[in-house]
Amino acid sequence: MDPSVREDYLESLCNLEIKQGRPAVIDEVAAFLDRDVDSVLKDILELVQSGDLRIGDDGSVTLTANGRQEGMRVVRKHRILECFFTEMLGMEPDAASRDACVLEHDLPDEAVLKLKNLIKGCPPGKNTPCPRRGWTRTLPPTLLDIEEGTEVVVLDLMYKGRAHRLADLGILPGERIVLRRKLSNNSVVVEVKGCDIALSPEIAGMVLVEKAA
Amino acid sequence: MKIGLIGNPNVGKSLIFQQLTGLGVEISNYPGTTVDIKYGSVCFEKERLQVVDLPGIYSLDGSSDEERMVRSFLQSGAVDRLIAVVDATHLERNLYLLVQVAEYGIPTLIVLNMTDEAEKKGLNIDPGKLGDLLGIEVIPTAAIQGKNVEQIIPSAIAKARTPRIEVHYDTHIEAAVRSLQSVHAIDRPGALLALQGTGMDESLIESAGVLAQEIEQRHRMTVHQIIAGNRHHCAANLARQVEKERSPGHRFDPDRILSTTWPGLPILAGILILILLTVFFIGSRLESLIVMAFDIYAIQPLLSLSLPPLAQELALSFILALQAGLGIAFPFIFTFYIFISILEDTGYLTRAAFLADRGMHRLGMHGVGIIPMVLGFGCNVPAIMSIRLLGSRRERVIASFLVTMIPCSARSVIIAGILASFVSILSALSVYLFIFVLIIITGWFLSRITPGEQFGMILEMAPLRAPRAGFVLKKSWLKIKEFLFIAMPLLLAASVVLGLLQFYGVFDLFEQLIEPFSMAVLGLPAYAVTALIFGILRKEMALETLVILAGNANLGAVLAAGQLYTFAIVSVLFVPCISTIAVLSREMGAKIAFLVSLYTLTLGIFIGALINFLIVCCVGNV
Repeated sequence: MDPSVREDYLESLCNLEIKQGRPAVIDEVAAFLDRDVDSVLKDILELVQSGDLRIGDDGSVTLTANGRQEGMRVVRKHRILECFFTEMLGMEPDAASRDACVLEHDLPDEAVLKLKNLIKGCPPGKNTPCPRRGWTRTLPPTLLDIEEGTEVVVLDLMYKGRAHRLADLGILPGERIVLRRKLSNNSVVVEVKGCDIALSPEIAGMVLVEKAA
Repeated sequence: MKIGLIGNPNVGKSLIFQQLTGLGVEISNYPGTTVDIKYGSVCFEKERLQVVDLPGIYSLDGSSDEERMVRSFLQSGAVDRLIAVVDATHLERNLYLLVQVAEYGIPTLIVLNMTDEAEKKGLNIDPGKLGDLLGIEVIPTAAIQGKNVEQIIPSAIAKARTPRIEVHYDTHIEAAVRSLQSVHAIDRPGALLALQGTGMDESLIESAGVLAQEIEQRHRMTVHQIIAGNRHHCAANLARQVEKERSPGHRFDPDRILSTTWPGLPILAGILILILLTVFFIGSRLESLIVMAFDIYAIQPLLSLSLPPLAQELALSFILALQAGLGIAFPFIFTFYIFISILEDTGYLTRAAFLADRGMHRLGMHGVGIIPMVLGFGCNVPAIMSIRLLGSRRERVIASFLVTMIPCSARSVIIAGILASFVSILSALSVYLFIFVLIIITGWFLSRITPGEQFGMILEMAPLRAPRAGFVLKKSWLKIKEFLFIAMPLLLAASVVLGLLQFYGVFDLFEQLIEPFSMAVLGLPAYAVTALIFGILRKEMALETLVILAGNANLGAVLAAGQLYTFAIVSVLFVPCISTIAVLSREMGAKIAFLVSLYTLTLGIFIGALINFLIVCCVGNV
């Protein structure tokens, strides 16, 4: 059996077990993987021989300690990659999950661990799709995170396509701007090229900045 | 010969246009008020020149209505000369637009405006040097004092030249422009636009799209950002060379008070309430004078003429419409406009928009939405006109619904005239409270169901200036003219139609038919419904008609308190007045105008029925 196929089986079984709270039966495994029962049964018997699985009398498939360890390793890798793709690279969740499925088999553990350190707070042990909000990203601060009166340099803008007017007014990567005013409701006024520009919170939140030296 | 005036918003362009042509065009300290292109003509050495005031823009590449409008105007080749108005106090940002304009290769003259303010700020700009660098003539002016304005037209004709300045773009952009130009028959600005995805030719856009994607991958920036960066760099370079000794004299900054949560927000609320109260008191005094004058000098003489009945009815409707129009226009709208013009000219309106941003978000709009909402208290017509200031269609749709629900001064007259006089001041205030709650609920609801994306506010804060009485009056006058122009013909027509209906007894028939319904649902006699219908013409006519039809000026003697309350609420909500509907369908299309009318009608009847039901239940039958 190809190692990546084995990893896919163990990963799916872990996910199924977490989802259902009990070991899966063969039919469920086949449905989950969208394959026919006969070929799944054949693969599972092979995995039983290699000591990753046990089949109960009722047709339930249980992971051995070894199999579970291996499966969870892949699950974690998948999650970290998916988080990285959605949160850091801004990919769509579907595409992120698809690409994570490919990369999880080839990327060495160490590289994934480094990625995990980059995106602090990847939720452990929850078999849910990566939440889009609420983790501490090591992204640069936005205009909303800095103090009134600070001079900053624009690093980048998120959602670049919508930022036409910002670029025309001079809010561009590399530009020095001063945060003139920040209201308690996060509306801000910035000074760019000698002009005061008022921005709504959602716009200010897409301007990534760095304190000017 | 056609001369175009081009420049950033809020650089004094409209004022210069006004001084050149003598034509009444509004000047404004609010960015983006000149939405339509305005034309005027000048006679110079026995030749008639057409001057075009283009809307103020920040860039020629964007996709807003104004930017598209100006771009197609420049591309059309219809313009022979350009007068680029540049704000000396914000030279760099203004030059950003100028270097774009230069790419169109039209003979241009630069008017370096606001040199007086620049001097005050300790900015010293060398116009000769700027002219040398750009290869065109520069005239320093101070339009607010009329300084050097007379030189503009002669210089535009004799000395305007094609600008020499050319932006050096990133090598990849330049290469892409060259390769586009070698395949497609297109000029440089056209190729730059195509790279940013703007253009008509599909095959051009497609090949530009491929090139743009490649560039974006390499630079990790959009093509627009790269191009904008290059232009800003060029503009900054130019500005650095011509600005001499900048001494940043730090004076007291009023924004430290005005644009803060405390005390900025209470100040904003105070200013708005003060304006509304003042307008209401001045307005109602003036209005009763005008209405009385009409009664004494037009209606009574007309009635004493004893004309044939049909002619008398028509003449009476005509006079009633005039009375309605003038009675609202001058006392309320004009006074209100004076205050709004002051807010605009001082630049305070942009601070108000900033402070109100978050609150307006809850209603599905952003900060700029406070302007139509405030205007709505004066009169819904100018309020609807101002919803153009909102960026997206979604926000404009939400604003149209909410603005038409705001109790305008005419509706305040009803509330005051019926409830404050015959029931109690508290009940009058409760109507306001009730309507505000309805507005908030409607806004909350609409912001969830209206399609379209919400995009926040990016608004330049206008510099604070002292307003000038002359400009304020002139501007208010122009706005009132616009109102009369739209509202008057409609008022006349509608009034005549209603007069005829009454003459042929349609209303009597109508009252017989509606009586059971109005008594059952609203608890109101049929003549009150007729009064409500007259209210469509002009809102406080509902009150006047009610008095006439009831045959007793002391309404409290004819109708019970509950009935008066229902009548006030229904007439305030009901359908907006005919002028509002007309402006709404002009600005937003007939569909939205219809939906708004339908919504307010349904809401009015529903709330009226609800109140009547409650009164009947709790108090017993009145």
